[in-house]
Amino acid sequence: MILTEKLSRSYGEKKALVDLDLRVEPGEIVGFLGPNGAGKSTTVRILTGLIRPTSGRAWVAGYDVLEQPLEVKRRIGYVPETPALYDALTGDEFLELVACLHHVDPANSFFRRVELLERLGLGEARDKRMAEYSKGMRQKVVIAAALLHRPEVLILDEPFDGLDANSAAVVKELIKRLAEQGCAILFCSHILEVVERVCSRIVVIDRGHKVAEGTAEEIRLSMGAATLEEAFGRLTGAEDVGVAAADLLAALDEV
Amino acid sequence: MRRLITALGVDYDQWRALTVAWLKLDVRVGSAGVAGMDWSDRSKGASALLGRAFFYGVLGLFVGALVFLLRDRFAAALIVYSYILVTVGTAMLMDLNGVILSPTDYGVLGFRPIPSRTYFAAKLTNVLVYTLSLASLIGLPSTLTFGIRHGIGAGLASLVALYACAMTATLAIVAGYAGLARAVGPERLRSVLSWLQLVFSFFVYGGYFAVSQLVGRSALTNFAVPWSPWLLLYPGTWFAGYIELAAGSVRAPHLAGVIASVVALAALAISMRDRLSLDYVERLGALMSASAGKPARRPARRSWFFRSGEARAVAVLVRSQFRNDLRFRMGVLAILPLTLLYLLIGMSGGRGADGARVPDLALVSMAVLLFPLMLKAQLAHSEAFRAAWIFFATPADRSRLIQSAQRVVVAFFIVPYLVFVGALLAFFVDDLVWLAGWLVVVGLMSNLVLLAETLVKPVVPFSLPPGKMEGTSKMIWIMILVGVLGGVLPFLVGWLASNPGKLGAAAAALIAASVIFARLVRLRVERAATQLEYQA
Repeated sequence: MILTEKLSRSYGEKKALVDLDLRVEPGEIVGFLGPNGAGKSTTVRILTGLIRPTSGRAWVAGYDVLEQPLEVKRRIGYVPETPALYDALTGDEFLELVACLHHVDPANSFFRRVELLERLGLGEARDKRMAEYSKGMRQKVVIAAALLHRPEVLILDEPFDGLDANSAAVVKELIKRLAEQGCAILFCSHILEVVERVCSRIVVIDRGHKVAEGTAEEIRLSMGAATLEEAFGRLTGAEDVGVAAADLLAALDEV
Repeated sequence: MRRLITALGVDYDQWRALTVAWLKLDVRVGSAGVAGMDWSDRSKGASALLGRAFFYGVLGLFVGALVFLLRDRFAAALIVYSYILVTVGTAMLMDLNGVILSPTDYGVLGFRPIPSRTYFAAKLTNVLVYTLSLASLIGLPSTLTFGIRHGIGAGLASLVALYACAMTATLAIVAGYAGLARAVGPERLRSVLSWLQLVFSFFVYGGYFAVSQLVGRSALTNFAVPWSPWLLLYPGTWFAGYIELAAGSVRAPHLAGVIASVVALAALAISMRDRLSLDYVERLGALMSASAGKPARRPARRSWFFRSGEARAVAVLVRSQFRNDLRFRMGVLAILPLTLLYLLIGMSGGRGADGARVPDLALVSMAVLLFPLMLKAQLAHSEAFRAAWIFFATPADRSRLIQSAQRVVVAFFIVPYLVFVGALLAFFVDDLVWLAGWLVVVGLMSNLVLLAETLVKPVVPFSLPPGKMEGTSKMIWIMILVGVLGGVLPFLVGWLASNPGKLGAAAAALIAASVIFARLVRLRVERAATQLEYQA
């Protein structure tokens, strides 16, 4: 599970995250929403041990991210928003590296690599360097790398980015089944329809603060909105989309 | 091996996996070490690596030949180990600091369960493979020569000294980085490192010049280093002591040097194992968040020239990069230590035909001519190379972009640099009219070098990835070029200094050559621009 208590992070004067309380139980898929710069990536970076919080505490799979970061990292699978890869390695070599870093038994590692790449449609490309991969193929490698060691907790930041409709459907189903098996999943995305369909609960943050929490229905009703998109807009102070679009068009007019 | 690594508190399986992966990357990429380059061409990386190995191998043969010619064993050893120290130091400062301090890898691996010490050990192994390979290429011919000329014992001692020297230099600089990261904090680390590089380049250029002057003044074969206790402060003498001891010259200073080297290496190894490796990952994390929250400098003002189109685009880009990209800024400013050093050396010049004071301007001329080469390299290779898609995805005329870059370089860097050089020289030259004429002539020559460079390699600005050993080999190339120009320029400057008429004639000839070259460049660039492709 994931648990945070008054988690905060500042970059100099700027407060990126303020007193965030978050809870993701085993078997739960929690959608983590917010506009650009809301503090989602900062939260995810703290939970994955990439950066330290300025104050507050966080536990992942029962371990404190500050006190026992290695134990946390052993138990999480992470799909970053902008995944960096070693492009000169092949997909299989990269997964082998990840398997070694997680101490996956070599025989198991080989079997899982072959299976994962095959099932994700990368069987023929497994020995090609990732520099030759398309965006979707790279995303599949990152997803495979996040699952390879059978993590207890999954942190997914825009996992469908670049995936074709068929692959996205497969990954969506996979996420649901992993949750059914007891995996705690934090799901960050800007695509509200997907979040609504996949997640059992949603947390919305804006400018570092948690502004809403509940099921999609609860959030919609609490804001008196017809759709989750409308509720999200109200929660995050977005201006009327029609006005915003008109303003943008006006900016393109000749002076 | 597993036992040794595990005894050091390092996870053997992870260390091995990381080391193999990083070496595989380095061999495949050849020189880049940057994600996103065109790595689909399997032959490119290996051939680039072989090219560099050949280059350093030839340098090693040259040093070996020097050892063979020198009669004084200690002096020969001192030159070899100084060369190793400088080359390893340059590689560590110019190219490999990214391996130790860059948070880039941390972005890929930071969320994996890798203990700090293991991560550090794998990084250190990666760096040591480079520096020890470099030392082998440069030092092994000398080792062989020591063996042949002074006996097998001396040869074996020089082999031990070679690797001890390279290890000490590598570990000392890594420890220096770690100390610096602690002392200045993650926010200022990159900036401080860049200034350090600038200062270091002053010493490298100066040291190279001083050694060549020292060896050049004495008959090469008779070059000797008179002993002084102060020499023990210089690590090169410690390693030269190994050969002296092995050759039977057991004297207290040599023994003291060898003991100092062993103590230094042991102290560095202990420091690597302890605190430094334990908080390494934490420091990388701090560096990563520091770079995430870095504010931009204030935007550039509107330029009087380059007001529209491709020229304006390039001008805006170059200006912004200079203001915000530390690597580019320092690459450009690296000319300053070289210029000041050459100016200081040239100040002891004599008098012209009319009795006016004329410093030796050959060396400063060299700096002016080298500047466009340094600029072009900085303008082509950048960490921001991925952003060059904008030049390929918009209807921008790439040939105009390349030619504009050349003009921007002249307007933003070469002309101000000439003004700076002129202002400095005005203190030492009585005849200011002659000085102005001289500045025009070297400025035109500099422009010609820039045109020639563009003719040879037309590149869209900031579109190529930076390379791992690129800075070191660039610096060595520049040193070689300095040597060649150093032979030609004194005659040319002497000829020009004798008469204003000759200066005028030279300027006219250079203008004519520039016009012809500019046309050739335009034709070449127009043809080449259509073939250029986005590299990321």
